Amino acid sequence: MFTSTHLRSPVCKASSTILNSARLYHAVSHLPPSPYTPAQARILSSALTHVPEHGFVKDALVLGCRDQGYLDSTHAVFHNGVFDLIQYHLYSERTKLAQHKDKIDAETNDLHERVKRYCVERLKANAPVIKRLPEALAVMGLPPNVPASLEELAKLADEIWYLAGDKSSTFDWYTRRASLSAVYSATELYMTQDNSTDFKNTWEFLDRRLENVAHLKSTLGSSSTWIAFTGMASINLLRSQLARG
Amino acid sequence: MASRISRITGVRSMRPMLYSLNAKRSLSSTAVKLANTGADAKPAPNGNGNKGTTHFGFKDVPEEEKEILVGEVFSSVAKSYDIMNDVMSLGIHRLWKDHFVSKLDPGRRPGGEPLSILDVAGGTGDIAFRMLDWASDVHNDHQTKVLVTDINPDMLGEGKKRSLSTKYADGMCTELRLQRIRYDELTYHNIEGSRISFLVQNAEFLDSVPDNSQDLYTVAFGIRNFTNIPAALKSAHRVLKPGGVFACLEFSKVNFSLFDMVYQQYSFNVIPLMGQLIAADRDSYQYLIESIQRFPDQETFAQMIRDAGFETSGPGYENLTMGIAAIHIGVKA
Repeated sequence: MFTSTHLRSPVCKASSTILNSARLYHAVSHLPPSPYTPAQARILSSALTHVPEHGFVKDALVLGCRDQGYLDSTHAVFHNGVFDLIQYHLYSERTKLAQHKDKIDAETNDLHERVKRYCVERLKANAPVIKRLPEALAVMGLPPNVPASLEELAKLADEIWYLAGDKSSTFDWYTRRASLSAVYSATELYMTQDNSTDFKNTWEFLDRRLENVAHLKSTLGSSSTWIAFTGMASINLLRSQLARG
Repeated sequence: MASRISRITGVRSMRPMLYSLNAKRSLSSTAVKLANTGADAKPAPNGNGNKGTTHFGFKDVPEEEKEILVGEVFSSVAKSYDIMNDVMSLGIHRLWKDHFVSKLDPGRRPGGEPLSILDVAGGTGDIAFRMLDWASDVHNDHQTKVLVTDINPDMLGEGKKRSLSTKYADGMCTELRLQRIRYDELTYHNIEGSRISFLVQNAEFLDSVPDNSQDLYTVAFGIRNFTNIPAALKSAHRVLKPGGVFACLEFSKVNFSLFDMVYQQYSFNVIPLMGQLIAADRDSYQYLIESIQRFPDQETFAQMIRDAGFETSGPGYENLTMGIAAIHIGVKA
């Protein structure tokens, strides 16, 4: 399905439940195992169905346990409480992106257009919980949760570029992922405040941000050319001055 | 100050200190005797059909004797247990325990049932009272019950004494009854009147606790003293309802080497000395420190919990204060 020339960050450090089966490389034929056991995935998915009503709170987690026939106290198994619920939302929506690959591949060949389409698909997945998303963002911003949140953002950016068919093997590999992370998080924030029908404003916002990045890139490119030219010219000027004595 | 210390420690108690200064790792005289007999009787760990040895601090002792030795330690420290905890941990054990309880968040929720909580090795009732406070104050739940078990009647006695000053023990149900009935005759069924009850039980068997009966099993700073930890985990699995939670707060391994150096120095030099000065019992505290050293690290213990049939999430534990203590949680699937 995917060509092996695509570069992808390996699964570096997995939580220890899957430590035994986690590999330090990425192989298309051996996708990394889920960090959640089937029972945990069931509880967390049920809990997410309660988020629109209750928000990203422990009550949603407890109701998820109840739905799956567990006890109220079972929620304690999730060491990070609500943050585990949020992480599951991020993880499951990220892995679901691959479902759109065939459709998007068929519709467009342009790399940047594909990236945009994946961003839209991912943001659409936030729509059911969008009114509760600020709560989630607040929890993700708590100091102990920041590293895991940033890691998840990086993984999302990587997933999108990978699915879009990015084959960069230079320093571009990093800049592309970094700029997409910035664009995605800005758009997500914008979306929480967007009241337009079907998030029309959000998609326009996303377009503008992606344009900015492209523009920034060309600005950076021409500035570096200018700096290089001026630098060389100044050195040559100095040389000729010195040669004259 | 000096006169105060000498009054607390007394002349008699100075002797063990001098003794321990000479012989670095000493145990109380009976304990030493038992340990020696054990070593003489059974030099090879696997020979002669004997039951095998287990560790008691840094010593290896026959399994059947560890229970007696641990019993002695706790009978001896029961009275000063709380003040020593405060002194040794600079009060941090209270924060750990509060965090432990808030993490478990026990209590009846709207549309749910009140909980049955089993607090094993709960001796002085520290965790039990916190659980009930949490259930009442946070969830307005006045029905959740805690059964405190401990193998040691002296520790349990301290807890019972303390419970009388709380709102949870109703006098009829605990004090008067306990005056008439010996602890070990008290069965699970005749203590339903109050929200907290006490019962002498060996955590490896939990004979009087029915199968599939508990929502929550807690053990705080107790499991490292058990002779057979896997057996205790199996019993925990047995008494919990499906979906019930096993939660353990225990000393663990510090994961930051520079801090670990400081911590080791403090453990081996300061704590036994404080045990000597405050509780007049250096040997018991020497044992406590050694038993912390011998307890498996976070990963190993999490695997033991999984091996007993529990399911864990993520790594299965949470470190407290850089790993001095850790909370392990497993759920009966």
